[in-house]
Amino acid sequence: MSEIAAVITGPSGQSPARQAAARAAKREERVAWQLAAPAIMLILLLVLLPTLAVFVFSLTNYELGYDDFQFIGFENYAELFGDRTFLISLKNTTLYTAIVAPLSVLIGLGVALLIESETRGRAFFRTAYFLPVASLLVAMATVFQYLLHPTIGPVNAILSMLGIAGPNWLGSSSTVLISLAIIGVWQSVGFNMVLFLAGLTAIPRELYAAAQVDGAKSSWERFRLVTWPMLGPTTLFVTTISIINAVKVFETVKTLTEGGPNKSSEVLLWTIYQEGFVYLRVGYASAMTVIFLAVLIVLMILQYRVVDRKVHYA
Amino acid sequence: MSAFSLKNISKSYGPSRILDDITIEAGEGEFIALVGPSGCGKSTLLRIAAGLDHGDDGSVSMGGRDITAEHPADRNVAMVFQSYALYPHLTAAQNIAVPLTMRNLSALERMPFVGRLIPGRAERQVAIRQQVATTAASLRIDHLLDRKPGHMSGGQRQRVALARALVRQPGVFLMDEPLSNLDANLRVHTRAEIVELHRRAGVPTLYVTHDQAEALSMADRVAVMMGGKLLQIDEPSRIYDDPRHIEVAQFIGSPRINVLDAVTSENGAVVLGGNVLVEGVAGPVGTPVQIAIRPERIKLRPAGGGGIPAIVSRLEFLGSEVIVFTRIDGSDGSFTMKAAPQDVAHVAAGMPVTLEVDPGACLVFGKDGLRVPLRTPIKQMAHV
Amino acid sequence: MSLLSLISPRNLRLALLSLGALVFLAPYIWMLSTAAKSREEIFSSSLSLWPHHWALWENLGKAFSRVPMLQLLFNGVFVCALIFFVQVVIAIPCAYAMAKLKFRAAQTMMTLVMLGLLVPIHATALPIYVALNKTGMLNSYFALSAPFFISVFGIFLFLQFFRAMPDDLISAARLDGMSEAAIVSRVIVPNAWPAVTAFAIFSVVAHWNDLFWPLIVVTSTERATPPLGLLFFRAAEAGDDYGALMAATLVVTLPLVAAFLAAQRRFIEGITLTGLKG
Repeated sequence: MSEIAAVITGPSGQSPARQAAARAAKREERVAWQLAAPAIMLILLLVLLPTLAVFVFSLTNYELGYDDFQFIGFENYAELFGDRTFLISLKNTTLYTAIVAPLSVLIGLGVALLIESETRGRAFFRTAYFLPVASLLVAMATVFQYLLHPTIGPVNAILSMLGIAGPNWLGSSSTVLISLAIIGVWQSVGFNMVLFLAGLTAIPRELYAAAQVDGAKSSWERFRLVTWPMLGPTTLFVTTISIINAVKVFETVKTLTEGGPNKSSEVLLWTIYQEGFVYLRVGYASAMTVIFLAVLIVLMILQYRVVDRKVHYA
Repeated sequence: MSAFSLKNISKSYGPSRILDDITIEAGEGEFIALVGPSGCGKSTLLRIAAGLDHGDDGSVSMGGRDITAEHPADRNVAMVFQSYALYPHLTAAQNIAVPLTMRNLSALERMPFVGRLIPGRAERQVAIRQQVATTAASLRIDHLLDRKPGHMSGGQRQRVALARALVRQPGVFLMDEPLSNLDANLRVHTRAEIVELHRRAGVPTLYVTHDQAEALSMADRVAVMMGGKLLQIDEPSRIYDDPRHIEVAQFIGSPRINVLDAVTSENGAVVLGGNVLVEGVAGPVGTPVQIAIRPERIKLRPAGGGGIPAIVSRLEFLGSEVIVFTRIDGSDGSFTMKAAPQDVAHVAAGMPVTLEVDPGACLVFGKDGLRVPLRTPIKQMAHV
Repeated sequence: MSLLSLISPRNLRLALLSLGALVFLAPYIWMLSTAAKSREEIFSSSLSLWPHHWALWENLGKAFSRVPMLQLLFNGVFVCALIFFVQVVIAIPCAYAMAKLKFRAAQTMMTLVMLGLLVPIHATALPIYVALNKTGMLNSYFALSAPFFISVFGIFLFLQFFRAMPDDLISAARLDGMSEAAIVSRVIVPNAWPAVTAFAIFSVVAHWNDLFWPLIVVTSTERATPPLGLLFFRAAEAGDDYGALMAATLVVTLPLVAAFLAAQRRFIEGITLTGLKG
């Protein structure tokens, strides 16, 4: 009996079943690695490594074209906070985001609610508001440049018919950020609308019926009682995405103003682009990039925090 | 030698032992139903049989060949899943053909365009198509062959899944609750069909279900599993009439078997309401036991006669029969029984009655749940 | 019927929506109108939408002769297709492994993916640019597409989708004799079309419209993508021949807008799927 047991148990001291299980698990593990290996390598090569490199660069005075560079500690960061252009850039980005994010969320929500409750022309309206999302922003910015042209632009032509002298929208430092913000809102409303529409269709109809039975008479009361709380996760998500996209504003600035006039449309990515890819001051631009990344990460962390605490999931 | 066997299979996830030393040997063409409540380990056991999962111990063999370490594809087992697991993007014909194409065509031959150039591929494909057609005809799904699963009813999908399992002429059939997604009518009808298919194919079959009626009606032998243990494996009639464990008795049969806690008295007798239910239970006087009696083995008599006095608490009318729930006088025990509607026409809730237990109907179980043997043959039901 | 009875909340709603739609569509209306106007007319009467003198062909001719418009469109299509193809080929097997195989590194992979989601191209642009510059690979299709070969978002999206696929299907495929690679190509991919289309829309919209990265790595018109080409065109034209400029914007905007109009439902579903999960 003991002989048989010894034969069955085998050399490794494990039962054949356990050995088979271990072999199968090993094979599965190996196949999984093979399938995931290209992705893992590319993530390391194209995401993690460059991100680390940006941190390292930000501690140096590296400039492209000069091969030697020194580690200079946090000098770049110290310089940043004395750099007038960078501070203006931060201020402008904040201002732009403060206009674009709330407006595009609110208008997106408003349009979604209107479309959801309107039975006529639903498909047409959805298409109309969504079209900017599918359009080439650089091209549409060019169209806006024409629309907002101080002398031949239709916007000022309409204003002058009403007896108002239109401003030099993109040409004056007092209106340039607003003009860019208008384009930003125009471009992002459709995206937010579509997400809100999806959120709205996910709300069970019975809840509205229940709210009505429970005495929520006006549509505003039903909105407060059902729609708004149920849209919580969508709203939070849309808001975060809107803020992040606003912080990343670049295309319109490059196409229309190149940061001008007089740095009044200088925004974060534009400044990074100028320093890093035009003046080739890689070290200094890397420090800016680190700040930019830090802003994004803080926004994401804030979102996760709120998700954990506040939002009502169905 | 058994055609398919699972020997001493054990498996644990962390500290919880989900399969505990299970041995099931299926003979040539035998239909074995694995039945038990959900989470008893029966599906895991089936996956181990298929090679999709592995035990910590024990072996799987088919026709005397040890296949414990073999890859599922090499074992030549066929499995029908609860969700049918049909490939949604393939037609019924393509679904049924998959196991054959995988086995009979090389990887090169399976490739689009290139495959056509390989000599002999065309003939093999014709052969595959013929096999698919034959199998489909035997299941009467020929008219569905060009349809995709999304355009079929549950019953039709179920047949395609059966066809996919049958077509490969496997060494063993594994079925994981294949009927549980069908509606009640179709389920009863399909039971008979699966039994018929099994009889024709003559392949050993392991059939997992949580429905005891399904298990009893279909299988040659029923294996009852609870909490990772195989409590009993036997013919359906013996599982029902002669359960070895109180949990088997309770799980099999509907309505549930009546169970009463009791202690033995003089002569190993169990007395209830002045009636000796059973005699000759092993062990000293005062041994705690459990008495189990099937509902159909209790008769309802008018109050005052010899028997156990009880009060009717509720009646459930089921058409061909009536389930009567009673409370036993002077005890917190209760009895459920089955009766013909005409026999209980006059009975209403609250009415006092007398219960008469068939002689030899009492099954006695010890505190450990195991059947307790009786020392002496039962003489007769005593009306004291 | 009195005029007052027309002012119901219902009609007010419709009016509001229509007005908004008009504002949102106005840029397209003027783009079309201006592209068809002659230079003189643009300067004289900006509010009349219908041109007196049709100059659409003339403007289009200018657009096509002054920049290699077809080359731009080809570059755009080629780069988007290359990026999308590689992204899918890399992401699907990885997502399958993470979703359906037992694999000790799966947890680490998940962290890696979540980290990757945080990092946009803007953050990694500098080192990648330096590397491409050092290896002399700027101004190439490779430079345009390589940084996007991995899409952690794609992995994430497919992962969510695959997790919802029944495990039984994969067990059945294994019993039927498929290898894991065969399962991916014969079972997973054919059933992942909703996720693949959604991701295709997300990926193509993002890279067709991207200006930041092409601006950094491409300086010649031969490799320019449509947004970059448009920028070159504006610089060359000093930006005041609005007729030709609008004709050019029309040409580069049209492919994606036409695709959107043709497959609207898919598009919106895709954006919703990718948007909500992203």
